[in-house]
Amino acid sequence: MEERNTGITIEASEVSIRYRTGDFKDIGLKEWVIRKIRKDYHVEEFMAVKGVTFKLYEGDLLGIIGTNGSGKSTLLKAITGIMEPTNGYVKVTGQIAALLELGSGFDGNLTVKENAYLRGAMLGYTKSFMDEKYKEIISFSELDNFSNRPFKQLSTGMQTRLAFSIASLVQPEILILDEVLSVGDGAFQEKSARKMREIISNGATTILVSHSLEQIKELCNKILWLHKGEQVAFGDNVAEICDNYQHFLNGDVIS
Amino acid sequence: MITFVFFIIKICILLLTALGVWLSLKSRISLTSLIGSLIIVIWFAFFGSIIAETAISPSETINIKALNEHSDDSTGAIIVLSGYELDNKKYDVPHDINGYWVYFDATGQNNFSVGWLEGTDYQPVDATAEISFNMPVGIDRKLDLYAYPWGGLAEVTTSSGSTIIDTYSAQELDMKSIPILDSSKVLIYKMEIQRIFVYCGILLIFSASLIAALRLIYNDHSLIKLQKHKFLFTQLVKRDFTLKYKRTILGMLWSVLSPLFNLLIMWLIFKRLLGNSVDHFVVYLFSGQLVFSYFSDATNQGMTSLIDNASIFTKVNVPKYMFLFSKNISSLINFGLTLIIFFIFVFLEGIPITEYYIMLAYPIVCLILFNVGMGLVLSGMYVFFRDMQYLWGIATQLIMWLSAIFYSIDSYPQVGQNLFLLNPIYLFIRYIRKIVIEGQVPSVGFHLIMGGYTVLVLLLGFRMYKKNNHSFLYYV
Repeated sequence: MEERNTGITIEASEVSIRYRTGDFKDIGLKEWVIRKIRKDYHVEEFMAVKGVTFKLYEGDLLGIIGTNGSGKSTLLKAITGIMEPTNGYVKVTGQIAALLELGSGFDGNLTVKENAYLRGAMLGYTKSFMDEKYKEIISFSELDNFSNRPFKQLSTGMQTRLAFSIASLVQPEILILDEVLSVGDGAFQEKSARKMREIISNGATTILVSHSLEQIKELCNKILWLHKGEQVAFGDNVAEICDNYQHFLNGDVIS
Repeated sequence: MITFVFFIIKICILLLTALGVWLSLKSRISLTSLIGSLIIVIWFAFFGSIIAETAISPSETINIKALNEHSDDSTGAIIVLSGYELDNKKYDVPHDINGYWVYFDATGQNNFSVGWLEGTDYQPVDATAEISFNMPVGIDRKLDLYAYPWGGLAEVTTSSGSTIIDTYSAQELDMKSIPILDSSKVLIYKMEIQRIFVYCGILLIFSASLIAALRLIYNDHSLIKLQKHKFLFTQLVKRDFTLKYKRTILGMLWSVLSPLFNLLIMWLIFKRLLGNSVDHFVVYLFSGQLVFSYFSDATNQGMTSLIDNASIFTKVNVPKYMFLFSKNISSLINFGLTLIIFFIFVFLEGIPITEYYIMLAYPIVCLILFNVGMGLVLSGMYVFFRDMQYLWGIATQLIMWLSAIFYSIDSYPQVGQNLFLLNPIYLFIRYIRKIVIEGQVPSVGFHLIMGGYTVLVLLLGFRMYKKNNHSFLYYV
C-alpha cells in the first residue's frame, strides 16, 4: 500500500465497540423493579468490534465483508457517529452521506416527494440543493409518475432506488452504503454501479457493505474483512482477500 | 423632574446593556438575530423596571387629623376615606382604617366636634380625631374621599410636611380626589436608587443568560449541529404537521376547537358551582384551560417523539432532541392560536388591558421551556420504560385536578395555598390570572420560583439526553 500523508478522509485506530444486549429491552417498569430486587436483571456486554484499524484516502472505495454478526454495521455506526467507540478513535474529515439500511426511515404516509425531501434533509443537504436536484433524483430512480403518491404504495425495489438516488446524486465527500446495491433489478444495479464509479472518480471516499463478492471485486480498491468483530484482513489486495473469504465461507481453513 | 432623571438613567443603562450584548455577539450572529436580541433586551428592561417597582415599594405613614372646623354652609360631616391614588392608579385603603368621619356632638350640649369612627357603627363616643395609615412613597399622590355635603377641614401630614385640605363637597356622595404633598426627597431618592439597582441586576442577569445561551447555540458542538440541521428540522415539522392533520376536514381548526369545547363543558358544569364567587369566571376558567391543555398536549405528544423516530436516529447521526422540538412546534402553534382566542375573550369580558400584559411574556416563555424540558425527560424515560405512557396519563389527570383550573383556592388556609406553589402548572395559571384578571404583578419570589422550576426541568432534560445520547439505541 502506498503511503500518503495528506488526503486521509477516514482514519480508524484500534476501534473497539462494546455492545449491550440483555433483559432491559421491552420490559416495563414493574418488571424492571422486580428483576432489580431479585437481582435477576442481566445486561450482557460484548465487544462487537475489536481493535479495527484502517486508513482511507480520497477516492478510496472500501468494501467491508464478513458473515452476519461480524460487526460490520456496528463499525459503520461508529464511523457515522451514531455510536461511540469504547476504545480507540475514528477521525472523519468531510461530510458524510450515510445510508445504513437504505429502505428504512421512510414514512409510508408521506408522499414520495415529501419523503425525498425528508431524506435529503437527513443526509444534510440544504433546501435549495434539494429544490435544484429533485427532478434529477426522481428521474434517476425512474419514479417520475409517482411523485405525489403515498410512499407505502411503492415496491421495495422502488423504495431502494429512490434511497440510492438521493444519496448518490450529490457529490458527498464520504458515502457509506450498507447493503444497497444488492436490491433493485439488474438494469438498475448496472446503472447504480456506474453512478458509484462516477462518484469515486470525483474523489469521494466510499464504504460499501455487501454480501456480493462479485460486486466488491468489481468496484472496490480496498477491502476489510471482519469476523466476530475482529479484523481478519485489510488491504488493497481485494481479489486475494475475497478468495480467502470465499474459502472460509466454504468451510476451508484460512491459509 | 425626579422621575424624569431616573427614567433617563434607566434608558442609559438599557442602551449600555444593549451595546454590551451587541459587542459580545457582533462577530457571531446575523443582523436579524441581532435585532431579535435587541428586542429581547428591551423587554428585559421593561420587565426589570416593573419588577423593581414591585420589589421596592416602601411606604410612609400618612396622618390625617380632622380639624374642628368646617365650611360655612356645612352642618355636619360624614366623610369616608375610600382610597388613594398614585401615578393615576387607584388603591384601596387597608381594612383597619375602613371607617368615616362624623361631625358629632359628644357631650349632647351642641358642642360639635369632628372625629374618626372605626367601622360603620355609629358610636361617636369612640371617635378619635386622628387616623394614620401607610401609603407608598411617591409623587403625585391623592386621597379619595367620599364626602356628604357637609364637609370639613383636615390636616394631612406626610414625610415632607403637613397641609390643610378641605373635604367639603357640594354634591351628595361626590368623590373628591384631593392632592397631598409628595414624599420627602430623601425617601424618593432612596427608593429610586434601590429600584435602579434591582433594574440593573435583572438586566445584567438576563442579558448575561441571553449571551450565554446564544454563545452556547453558536459554539457548543451539539447545538451547532442543530443549526446545521435547520433544513431537517423544518422537514420534520412539516412531516409532523402533515401526518397529524392528514384526512381531517377541519385540519388545524380541530386543535383549537377541542380546548374551546372543553372550556364550554367546564363552563356549563362549574358556572353554577362557582360562577357567582369568582370574577370573570370565563376568563378564569380559560386561563387555566389554556395553560393546562398546552402542557398536556406538549408532554403527551412529545413523550413518544424519540421512539417514533427510532428508525432515523439509529441510521443517521442527528441531534436527538430535534424530534422533540419538532413535535413541540405543533403544540406551540395550537397554544398560540388558543392564546389569541383567549385575548378575544378577555376583550369581550371588558377587562381593561394594562401595560402589565407585556409581562405575560415571562410565564409564556417559561411555560414553553418548561414543556420542552418535561418533554425531554419524558421522551428519554419512555425509551427505557414504555409504561411511562400510562403513568404519565394518570399524572396528567392528577395535575389537572391539582391546578385550580375550575375552582378557587382563595378560601383555603394559608398552608394549603402555599402547597399549590409546588405545582408549576398552577404557577403559570396563577400568573396569567393575576395579570389579566387582577391587573397586578406577582411578587419577585413568585417569578423566581417559576424560573427555578423551568431551569431545573430544562437542565434535567438536557442532562438526560447528553448522558444517554449513545445508549438510547440499545433500547429501541
